[in-house]
Amino acid sequence: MATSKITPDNDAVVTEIEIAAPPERVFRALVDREQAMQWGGGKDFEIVLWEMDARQGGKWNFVSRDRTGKNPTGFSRFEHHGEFLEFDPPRLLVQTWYANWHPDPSHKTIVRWDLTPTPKGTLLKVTHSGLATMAGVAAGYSQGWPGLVQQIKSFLEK
Amino acid sequence: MRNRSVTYSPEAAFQALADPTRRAVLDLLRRGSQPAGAIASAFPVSRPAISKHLRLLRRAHLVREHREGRHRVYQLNPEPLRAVDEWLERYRSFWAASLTNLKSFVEAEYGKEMQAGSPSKHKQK
Repeated sequence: MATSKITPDNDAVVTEIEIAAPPERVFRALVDREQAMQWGGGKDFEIVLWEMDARQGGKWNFVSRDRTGKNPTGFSRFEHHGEFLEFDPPRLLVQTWYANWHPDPSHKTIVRWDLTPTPKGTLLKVTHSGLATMAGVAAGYSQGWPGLVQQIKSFLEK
Repeated sequence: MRNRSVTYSPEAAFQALADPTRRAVLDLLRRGSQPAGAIASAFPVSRPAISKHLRLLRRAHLVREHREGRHRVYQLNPEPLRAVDEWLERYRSFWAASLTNLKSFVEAEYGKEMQAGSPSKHKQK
């Protein structure tokens, strides 16, 4: 199982998993359409579109559909797109990530994939950042309130 | 999204939290309820400006207002922050599920490739 946690500033979700295959093999599954179509969906979602210009500066684009019809966002079609900021196989992949179902669809979030070789295979770490600043960036403000949210949450949970 | 009246929308909370004065108002209310006048005098901005901030916070359900005699008293309601939290939680489960799928897929494929004994042609140094 993957371990996934939210950073204390509420800005990023960090997920790690170890995979028994070398980084080259894992990287291929990330950027090869045939492969991504196979693992990218799941019980609740179906991938209906997947396009990727796999190089630095290249664009990517994927659309998934909710199979359950009861997604809490109220959306049934989830559109994601962005561009590769860094493309360094088989070690690193950094992409911008925009989504139609975000509170601000034009707000940039960043997904970073770090692949590190281990005796068993590959440690894959995915960091999705820019989440908490969603509304803040639009207001010209990019930090500070996540700490407040944390404080108020602890207040709430007392 | 559809039933904004019964569930708190993270969008409204995100928007309300985007402004530093509004965050400071929430912070002030953490110490206890305050009348509007006391809130206004705690900030170096005009009273109408504070009223506007309080209205936005009220709309996002982050504060509640009630009357005590001639005063309007504001109280913190942290409940909508759960919506913000749930929003992050959604991404947490999204990535956990995606990477678990990726792992099963790559390990199964790689296992097959190794048995077939060729495809990635000994890239190992």
